[in-house]
Amino acid sequence: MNFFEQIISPFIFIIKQIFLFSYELTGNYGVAIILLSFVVSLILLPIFILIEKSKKKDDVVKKKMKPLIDEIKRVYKGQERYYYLKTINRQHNYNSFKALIPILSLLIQIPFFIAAYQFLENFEGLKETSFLFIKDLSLPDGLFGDIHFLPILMTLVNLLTAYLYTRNGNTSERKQMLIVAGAFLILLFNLPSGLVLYWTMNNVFSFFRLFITNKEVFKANLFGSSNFNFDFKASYKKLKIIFIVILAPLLFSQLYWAFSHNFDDIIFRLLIAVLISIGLTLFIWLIINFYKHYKTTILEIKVKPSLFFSLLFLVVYFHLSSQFYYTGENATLSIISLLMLIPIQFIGCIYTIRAKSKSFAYKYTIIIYLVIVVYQLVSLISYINEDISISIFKINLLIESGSFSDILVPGIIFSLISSIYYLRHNGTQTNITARKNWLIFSLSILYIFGVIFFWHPLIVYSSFPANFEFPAYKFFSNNLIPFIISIFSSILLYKILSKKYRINMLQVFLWIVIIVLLYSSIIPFDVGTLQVNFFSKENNLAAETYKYLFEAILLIGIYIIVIRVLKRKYFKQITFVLIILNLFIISQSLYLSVKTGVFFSKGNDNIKAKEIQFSKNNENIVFFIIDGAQGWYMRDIFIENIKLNNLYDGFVWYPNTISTSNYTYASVPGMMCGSDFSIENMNKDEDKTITQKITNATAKFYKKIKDNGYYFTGNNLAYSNIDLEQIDNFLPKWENSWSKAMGLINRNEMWYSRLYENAIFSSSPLFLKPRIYNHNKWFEIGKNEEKGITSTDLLSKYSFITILPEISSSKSNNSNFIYIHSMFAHAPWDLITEDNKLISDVSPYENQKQFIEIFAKWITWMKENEVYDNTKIILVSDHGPSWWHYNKKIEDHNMPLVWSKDRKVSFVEFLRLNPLLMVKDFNSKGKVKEDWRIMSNIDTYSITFDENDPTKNNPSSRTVYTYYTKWHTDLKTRKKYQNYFAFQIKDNVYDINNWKKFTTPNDAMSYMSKNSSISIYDGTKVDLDFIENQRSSIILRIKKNYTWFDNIKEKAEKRGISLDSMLVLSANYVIETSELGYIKERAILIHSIKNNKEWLNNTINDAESRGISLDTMIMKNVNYILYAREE
Amino acid sequence: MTKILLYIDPASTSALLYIIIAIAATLAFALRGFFYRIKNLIFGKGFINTNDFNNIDIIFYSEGKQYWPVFYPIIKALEKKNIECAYLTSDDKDPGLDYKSEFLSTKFIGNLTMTSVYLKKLKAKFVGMTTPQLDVMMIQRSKHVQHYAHIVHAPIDVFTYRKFAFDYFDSVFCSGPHQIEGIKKLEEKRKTDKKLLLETGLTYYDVMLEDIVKLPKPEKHKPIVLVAPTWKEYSIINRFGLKFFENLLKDDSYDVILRPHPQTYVSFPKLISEIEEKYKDEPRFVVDREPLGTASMLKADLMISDLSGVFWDFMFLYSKPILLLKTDFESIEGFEGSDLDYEMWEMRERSKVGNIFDENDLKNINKIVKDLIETPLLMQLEELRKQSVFNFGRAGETAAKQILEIIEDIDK
Repeated sequence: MNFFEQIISPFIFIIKQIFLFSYELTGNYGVAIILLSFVVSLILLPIFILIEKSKKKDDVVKKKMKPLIDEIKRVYKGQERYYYLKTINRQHNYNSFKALIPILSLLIQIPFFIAAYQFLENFEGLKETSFLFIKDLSLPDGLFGDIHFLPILMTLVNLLTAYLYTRNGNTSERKQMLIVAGAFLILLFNLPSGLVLYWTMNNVFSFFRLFITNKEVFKANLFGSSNFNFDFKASYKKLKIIFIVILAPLLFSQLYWAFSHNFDDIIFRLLIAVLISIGLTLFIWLIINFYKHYKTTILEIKVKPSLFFSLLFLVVYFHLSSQFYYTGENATLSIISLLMLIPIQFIGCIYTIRAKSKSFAYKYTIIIYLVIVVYQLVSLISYINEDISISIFKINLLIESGSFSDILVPGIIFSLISSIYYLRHNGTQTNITARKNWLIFSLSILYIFGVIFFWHPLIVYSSFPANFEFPAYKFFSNNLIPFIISIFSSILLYKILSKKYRINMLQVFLWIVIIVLLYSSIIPFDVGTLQVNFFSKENNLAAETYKYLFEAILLIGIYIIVIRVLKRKYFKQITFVLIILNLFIISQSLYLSVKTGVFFSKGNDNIKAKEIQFSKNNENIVFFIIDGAQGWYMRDIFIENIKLNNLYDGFVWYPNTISTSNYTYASVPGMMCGSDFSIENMNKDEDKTITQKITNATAKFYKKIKDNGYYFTGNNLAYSNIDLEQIDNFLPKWENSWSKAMGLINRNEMWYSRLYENAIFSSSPLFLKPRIYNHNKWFEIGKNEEKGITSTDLLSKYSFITILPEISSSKSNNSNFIYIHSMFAHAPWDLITEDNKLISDVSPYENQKQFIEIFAKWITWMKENEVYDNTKIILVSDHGPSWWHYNKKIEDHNMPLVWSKDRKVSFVEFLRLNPLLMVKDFNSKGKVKEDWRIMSNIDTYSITFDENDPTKNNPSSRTVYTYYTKWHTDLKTRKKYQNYFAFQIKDNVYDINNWKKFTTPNDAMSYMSKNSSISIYDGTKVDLDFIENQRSSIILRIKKNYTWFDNIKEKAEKRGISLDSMLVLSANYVIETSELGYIKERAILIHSIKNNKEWLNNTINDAESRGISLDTMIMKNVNYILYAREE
Repeated sequence: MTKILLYIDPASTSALLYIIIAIAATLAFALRGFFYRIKNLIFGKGFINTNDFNNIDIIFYSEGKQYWPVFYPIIKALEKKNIECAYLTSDDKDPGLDYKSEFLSTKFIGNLTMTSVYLKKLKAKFVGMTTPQLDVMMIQRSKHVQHYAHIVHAPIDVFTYRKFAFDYFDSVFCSGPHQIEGIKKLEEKRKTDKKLLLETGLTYYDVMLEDIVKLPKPEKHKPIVLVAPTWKEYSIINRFGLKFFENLLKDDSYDVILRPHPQTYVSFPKLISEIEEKYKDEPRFVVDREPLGTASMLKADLMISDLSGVFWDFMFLYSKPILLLKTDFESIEGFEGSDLDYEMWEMRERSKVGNIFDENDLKNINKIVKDLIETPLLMQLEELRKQSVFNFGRAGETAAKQILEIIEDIDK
């Protein structure tokens, strides 16, 4: 427990108690959350009243001081201003320190909120619990698809509170509240609805708190003046016209329809038409009245330029980020843009109306507005309703389903037009003219284009010079011309602009400078390494929405800072900073290039080290792990492709092979080092972690190879922490030069421009990045065309096998040991085509067949280079395929499996334990042979090093072992593998009758958990009775809670089980996820120890050797097991 | 899922933000004070031993040599009564430093920053100064001084003083009733301590009157126009700059003396040097930078001014015609006037003093001046002086008496 948790824990306790009590009281988690929120608000109420009191006192003083302070701030600066402000404080007895004391008590509420968050976030009870319209309290409500209702409701409540709270002036506070409300809308948008419900209710209560602390805000009329004019008679004539205008087409359309179809419901239809007309008329009348009444108020709305242009920017920003989105148009971003568009269009409208001109352009504008709004409305309707077809007098109009762009783009045009009127009203910004502008401008473009064309490329180049076949100066001279063109065109543009707009251009360029600086060197955005034409982790470009929100705010913030800095005429400072920036980036990149010495000579590319070396004279051993390959498939593969029989000259296939385990990290140590590193033996060592054990195995394996005088070439020493530096020749996952060798990439010229394209890419904000680069394409919108293998992961998985002949050499004089661990056959299974395209989601068989075919090419290379005969090849898999990743039918290929009566393993479990083993010994010749002697993949050690080689020593009968272990993610701290089961198998692995369960003490726990329906007796009975009682009380509680009960009923129906058993299951779930689960498990474990003779004896021995009682020892063991599982 | 550590609902957040902002602002405010203190310490070159005037009860502090005529009559009156006092100045060219008397100790205490450090440590019963804004700006009250007095050095109203000019003095030696009125109003508004408001008068008038008598009668010459603007933003110089003098000099029937306010050289050095540069070879144009304007005023036949206090001197002492720039006193922000809601004394009385001109007359200023010299208006100036200035010609004596009374009070 760290310091923070220590402080928070009592609050969590309080929150927990309130919540659980509320739940006891109501039996409904949703209501409990609301109650919790209420109680917390109630507890904090007195504090709030106190704070509000002291704040009001403060406000009075502040209000008095404000005009004085404003006056001083207008007139004086610096030290003088400070002295005057100090005197004003003094004369009003206002001490800013004193003001802090009552407010400090406010801090007490923070822990409540953190506690509620932490408690509710981790509370399991909310899972799959529905409440009102919320389907699952542990997930966002998703009431409108991507858009969640609760956060919006919360924001509305907050806005109302903010409006009321600050309506008596205090605009600075209003700003704060608006910012906070916005921030929390973003922060909470995707959080579990249970949490959001809590916060929403909190806000609702804080709204009601206003009744207590700030009654005065309700006294004034909510909408300003109250004499709303509902004079119906006055507007009767107009209404009649509106009514007729609406009614006529409606009636006409109904009649028209009736004439062309039938007159069945004609009276009803006409009645509906009349009713709708009345409704619409009333609605229009209301709007007109409302508008009339508030006309002056609405028309007087003033919007600051910063807000107007920020909104406009946001609309464009989110529209573009949606359009450019990595995976295609992004609806969420479009909706955000749409939300921003509504106010900006409204404001634009107001400013246009206010402009009231008789000019032709003005009238024209109004017409354009009308057209745009109608178009938007139609698009909106068609977006919701898909296609709309209208037929007027037999002319059919079809409006195709609209997209967001259809609403947004006209809206943006609308806003741009209205911004002219806005600017006309607000006047243009102050002109800042300074002689130093030119210097700032020059330094800015020098920085921007310098970074893009020279400095950023040079840094990229210097960081991995081995990838380039040309010295750095080459792209330097190549980029010189675009650099000069960019500089001159910018200067030209600046020159031809009038002075008024020059300052705007300067602002924009300074803005870009900051963006380039931020994105190219401060904000990290990981798209992986640049592989000439693609990025290794380009999927990161599909960023979450909140990142865009933050970025938009960031960009606006930067622009505002730029404006302010320029307005205050900090020209000297700006110039200074720009000079520093330029100097810094130039010196940094030059330093790197000098350090790596790449400017005039090409970087040191150690190609040789990336070769696989074979010797013609000495022995070579290829130890090839094909991860997850199925053993049994080899028969069909060799039948299907007869040619392979000849190609795999001298190979023996061992179909009767069991895998020592079902996971790579459990099998590979044994495969490398034999039975010393079997799971059972590894589990005996209780000091080392599994990672340490795997590392030891690798080290031992490597030492053995070196002791035998081999030169080692290898790759992918999975899960091992061995120092790769000390290994003779370690192959990387993938190499750029290999891409070149495969003809995937080649042109140097492409690199020249790619480097600056990459610089633009990395200097750009997130929303532009996918516009610059998307799926292999630079500077075009990426359409998701057929996808070649691009990512390093896929290349290393598939193309690595293809490249083997290209990177092998037969010139070595040493004996060579080649260790390769390929993931080719590992899930997910794909095929690669000749032109390096990917066919996804094929069967494991198809995939494995392709592997065997491609591998044959390497065999052919070995033969051609006369290294085949003197090479021993072991082709082995560490386990069978993970069939649960395959969503089609499992293929058995006539597997000769014999099931026992008690199905000890499932089919999938068996397939997982059925590995591939093929061996070609030195000088072995002839077609592929089948050998049905029993093998384990742990035998590869003996086969490799020829120590008790079971393929040679010909044992008539043998027992092998297999361990089905759990999936562990904590290898770095875990010390033992946990097994579901272990078997010893005699002679034939395909006959399950030959499988005999094999139990070691530490496996008992998992054994027990598989067979937990054991009756309990003696000391543990109390615990179990307790559980039984709990279970029935939970069931009772479920029955009382209708929502919960309905939920369970539904689930029972879905699963097709009885309601009672579903109730028991649900109760068990509650017990297991609560603390009761421990009691139950403990009871079961104690029971199993006492009932297992062997285990009991072991425990008695342990107890005696430690001098403690048997019961204590049992408890120790039980706790240990529970603890281990907790891990 | 994004992990948030903190959540607070907007109402409480705004309260919290309020705390954070308050803490930050308070810290910034405090740090700023600290910064200025350190800055002052550095520029003040450390602390100075202030035991120089251990046994002296009365100390005067002068900001610059131009204020010596204010203190001199008081010092002389005290001297007559054999009472010892000290004179501190921040100006090494202060003529007070050369005044020899067994009853007066003088000291130059360095620039303003050093002064503030020095004065903070001062020991005395009475400190009199012409510098306003005690305890507001850099000059702070010393704990070891019982009484601080501001000695008014112009007949003007309190409106044009910068903010909080008198608030932390114990007494103000006022020149006329309008000052007493203004200060009382300010005290009322700000609820600051009541000050002792003394009917003193203008001590430098004593000196000037003596000077005028001593000065030789000027010979008959071409008429002379004395331009004596104030230094503030609304002055003739600031509003019209060179143009004014260009127009004024169009008529060669008179000569011109420009007597800028000393502060002009501090606040607008560029502007004044521009003017000086332009007319350095013009024989009809002279810039007067003497501490006392008596000689120039004596020579002059007409004064052109704006809101400077100097025209009152010209009027009270010499009774010669005056031409004033029309000044709407709107730009009073940041000055004491913004806290006062009645017409200031200068404005009330201006029309009684002389002719007014405004921007539109700028082009014809030469004509207006010529006319005025040729046909001066007759005015009741004696009456106005009696109403506006206490103790004309004997303010020094009065001040000395008042100081002694204050000390007597302290000693009680």
